[in-house]
Amino acid sequence: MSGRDDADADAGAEQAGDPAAFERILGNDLESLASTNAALAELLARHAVSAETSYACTLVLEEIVTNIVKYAHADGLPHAIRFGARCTPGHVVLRFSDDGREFNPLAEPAPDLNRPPEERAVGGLGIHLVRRFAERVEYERVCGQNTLTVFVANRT
Amino acid sequence: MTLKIEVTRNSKQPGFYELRLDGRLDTETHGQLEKALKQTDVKDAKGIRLDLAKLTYISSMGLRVVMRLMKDLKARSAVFQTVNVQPQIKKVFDIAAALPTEAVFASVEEADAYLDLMQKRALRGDTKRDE
Repeated sequence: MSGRDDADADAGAEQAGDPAAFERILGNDLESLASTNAALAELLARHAVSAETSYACTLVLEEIVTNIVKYAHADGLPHAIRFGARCTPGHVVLRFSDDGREFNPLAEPAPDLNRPPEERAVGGLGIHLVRRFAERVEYERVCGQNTLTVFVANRT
Repeated sequence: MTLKIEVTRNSKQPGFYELRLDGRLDTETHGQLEKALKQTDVKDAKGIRLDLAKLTYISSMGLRVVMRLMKDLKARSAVFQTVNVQPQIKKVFDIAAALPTEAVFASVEEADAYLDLMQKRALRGDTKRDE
């Protein structure tokens, strides 16, 4: 739909002092997830984003960060996860970058939802939820960095 | 953000327990539910009911605990029920296809009526389900 517009609008997210955006560095230990969550909630509230959109954004943040923390690094060392959020007229754009192993969530097979839940392998659900709650997800691997950009429809 | 869990014994149905969840069931809090389910009596319950009236948020970590509970209960022919599932929570369960319709009850009264019916049937030795 308005894909390019959003990509262009998002390019401005790094401008300092932009009230429609914020960026922060998280550690790969879940410690900073709660405070980032609070900062995201504050941004969304300031832009009168609906409860439904807000729920989707909170879920995307949690699922993606948890995934990076759990699976991106095997060296046990601290790594930075860069997170940025920006409100545009049509979307809330959430961007995650990490220097972990190459992982394209869009290439992951969907869980087998036809099997009864109690017989299913427990896993792969987080990515599935993100894909269903987002309008669009883009993945890029550049210079040893994974960058995932999630566009959540902004229904105010 | 936190989660509060209140565990009560069903006064009419021995061996059945109800867990009332208040808050968020996520990466941070899912361990609390796991712990509550491991309590004496609860872990051997004939049935577990989750009252989700005050659950405001669930993520995949929360779903996993609930799905594992369903699996455990089914393995020993125990009953799993949910009541008062709020729309935003229902949406997550639906996307994950994680909640069978037979486990969803609109109210405590409805869920109790179902247990009564099952008990009567068990007394008659009738194991067939109603159509």
